[in-house]
Amino acid sequence: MEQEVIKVENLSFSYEKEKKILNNVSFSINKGEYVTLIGHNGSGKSTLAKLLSYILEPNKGKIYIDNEELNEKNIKNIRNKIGIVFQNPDNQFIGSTVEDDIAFGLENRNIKQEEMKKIVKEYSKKVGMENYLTKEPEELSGGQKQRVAIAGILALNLKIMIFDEATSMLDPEGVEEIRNLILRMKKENPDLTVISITHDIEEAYLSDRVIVLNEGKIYKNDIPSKVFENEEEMKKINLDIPFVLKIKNKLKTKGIEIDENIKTIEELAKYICL
Amino acid sequence: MANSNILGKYSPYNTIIHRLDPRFKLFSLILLMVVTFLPYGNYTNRFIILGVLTFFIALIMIIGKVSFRSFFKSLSSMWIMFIFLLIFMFFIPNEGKYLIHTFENGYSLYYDGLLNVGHIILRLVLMVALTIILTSTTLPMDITYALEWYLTPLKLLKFPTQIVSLTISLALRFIPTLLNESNRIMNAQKSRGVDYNRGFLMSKIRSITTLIIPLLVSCFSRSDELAIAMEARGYDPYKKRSHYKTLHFTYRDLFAIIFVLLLGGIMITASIFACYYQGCDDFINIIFGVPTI
Amino acid sequence: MSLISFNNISFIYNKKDPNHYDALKEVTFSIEKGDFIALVGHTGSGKSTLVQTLNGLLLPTSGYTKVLDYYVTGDKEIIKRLKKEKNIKKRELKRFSHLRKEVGMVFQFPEYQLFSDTIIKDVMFGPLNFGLSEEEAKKRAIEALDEVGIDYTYYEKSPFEISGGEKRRVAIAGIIASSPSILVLDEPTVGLDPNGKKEILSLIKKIHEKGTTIIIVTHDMDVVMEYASKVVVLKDSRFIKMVTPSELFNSKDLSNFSLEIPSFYKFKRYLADFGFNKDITNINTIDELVDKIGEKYGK
Repeated sequence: MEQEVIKVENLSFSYEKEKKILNNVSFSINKGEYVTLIGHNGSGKSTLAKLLSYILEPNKGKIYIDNEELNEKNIKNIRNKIGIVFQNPDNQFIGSTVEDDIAFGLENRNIKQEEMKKIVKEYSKKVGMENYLTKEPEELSGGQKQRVAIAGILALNLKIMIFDEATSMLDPEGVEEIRNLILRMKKENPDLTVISITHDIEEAYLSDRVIVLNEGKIYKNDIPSKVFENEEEMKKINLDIPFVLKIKNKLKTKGIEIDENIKTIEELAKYICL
Repeated sequence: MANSNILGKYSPYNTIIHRLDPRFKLFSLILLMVVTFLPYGNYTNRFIILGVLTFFIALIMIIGKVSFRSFFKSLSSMWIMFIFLLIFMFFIPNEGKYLIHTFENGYSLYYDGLLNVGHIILRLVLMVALTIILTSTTLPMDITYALEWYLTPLKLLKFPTQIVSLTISLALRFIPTLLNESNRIMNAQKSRGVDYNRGFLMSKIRSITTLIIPLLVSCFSRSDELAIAMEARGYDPYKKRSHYKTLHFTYRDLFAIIFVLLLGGIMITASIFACYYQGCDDFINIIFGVPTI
Repeated sequence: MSLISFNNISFIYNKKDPNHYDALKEVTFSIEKGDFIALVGHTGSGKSTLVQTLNGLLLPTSGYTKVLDYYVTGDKEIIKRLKKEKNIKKRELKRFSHLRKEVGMVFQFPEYQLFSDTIIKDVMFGPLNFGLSEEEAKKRAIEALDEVGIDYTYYEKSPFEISGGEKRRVAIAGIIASSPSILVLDEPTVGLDPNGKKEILSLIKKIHEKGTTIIIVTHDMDVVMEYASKVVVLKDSRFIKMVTPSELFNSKDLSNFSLEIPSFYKFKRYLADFGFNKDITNINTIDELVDKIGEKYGK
């Protein structure tokens, strides 16, 4: 049986007296899944991100991480299972250089120095930053800083990684970098569970499952091709659909069916021409 | 890009001076500063000793590839102080040993004042040089490590050295980020018609608030996010943490420390002898170097 | 005569330092009244430096930028020549107040310029600085807030208690309240979600339609494709070319400028690479392209 690593039960949240930002949300995520969470501003997705990372506490409902309830008592324990990449690349760069930053989490876990050096080397290579170890944050691009943050979390060997709009402040090049890095990461470590809160629908299309939030409720929770199937429906809640699907849908109306597994522009062009 | 750093900026070379242990460098800086400020009796002695020090300090600057340009730049920001000293020490005291000229109204100028000004300025210049050697050959982080090391004995008194040193290093880490940010805010306000250079007191204060308030707002939100990020990565101020970098004392450092201690020792001996034979029992003399002979 | 012209301008950061850096090299081109210009190029290509010469925040080390009838320059030769030929004094060249009123400048994350205790005061700040009366400034502020879609219930609120997207709109209102004839925006949509992006962009479009000349610095090629009338490409501190968006995306040398290509053009490119047997060079909409693909399948 699939192993549940995150379970959200009847979660509700509102600031005092205001209308509910999250209203009775329930879902679960299995070990090794790559789930994206999308929704326009005000859909409650950033609140959900804050609840998952315990920056906010729910008014009602519960969150279980690896069968442990997320609360004040367990939080320290749960921090050893879950890592978060935040939105602003500058404000999560803690060390004064790339290597110091990757090492920060390791230092907190009191890892021996020789071991730390090895780990930092290994994981900086994984994110392609091995030639920048002594660089300071001012010398790096936004995308590079986010890669450093990712290395710092990967180095801790956690079970779950949350990306909290990690690409929204990056230039297109940076967005692409991070998108590819997540996919590569997943390939190398199939047991890693990834939750990405994003408004990059192209990224959502490449994930295993998409959860769409609208007005504090789950609107859809399915594989990407099903979620984005109906363009009109998505437009209604102010979301666009991925480019490849747009073309596929238009071709479908002409009676041309394209293979389900084709997800990138390159694959689509190849399929059409060959 | 508009970095103006009076106390010097790290320049990334790899000289012997760069590779020395920062703890040692911090110690030598303080020792040499004390040595420059010791009393050495009469002016001949003083200038000989300071000459020797100047020679060594210049040598270290050359070996450490310290930019003389940035050194003179820092000095140039002190010229007002120098002029002030000149007026104070040379023109005001109406006494001394070696007369230059007596004016018709009876006011006299003495060489003593001039020598004294030269002496004080030379000391200040050497102090600036020493500081610049430290900052341009040592990464800010390494200076923090060194400070933390010197603070370790305070741990016995329950002083949170770990937290203090992390705070210092975070502050250092964010200086360039905040400089860039204030630059951007200032540009935005200038585009809205604020003139930071002109105007008198009240309008100056008003223009500064257009920078300070946004900067504070951004600092608060940054520190908030930073704290969350640190917690998310398992930071606990009261738990034992390991260190990614530790300082290693090498043979090179041993040689350097012997050299500096010898130099310091010689100077201190010279000072004691000078005091013994020429007399400088006055405490004020030791601290400010005001001649009482 | 052109509204704005860059005349052989170069800009060097830290000129006297050994590690100086050339941010602009001999850039020459001009912009006409009513243009909607997108300024593109990789990070560090000199885009931000270039626009900052438009209102005298940076003075070209050599050459001059001419905006309306202002000369912006730090080039001693040119300053001398201006004095001789046009009797413009050095002192006048350093007065930017009126120029800054004419050239509105929206920086990245403009919400960081807010500082007053109420929104209306913040928006009035610019007009007041440029010498308008309290009454006139308030009128302008209300018009500007209206334009960005912030209604009167917000006027007395603190600019620090509204949402991120609203803050950005208030900040933009603070600039258009001085009714500039040229509006420069540096990455105005960074950090916003797709809806916020659309809101800001349609706002800019509306301002453009009223006759304001727009210059927008951006990485987002979808913005370029959809809104710009002309694209200026910079690379390694040099001016490369000024073309229409579709000319740019159809050009063969596009990959030399490390620009992101919009999905549509990427798709076209891949089709061509894999030997698609129909001629698609002049096709610029999805529907036409899909028709061509249909033809291939015989439908």
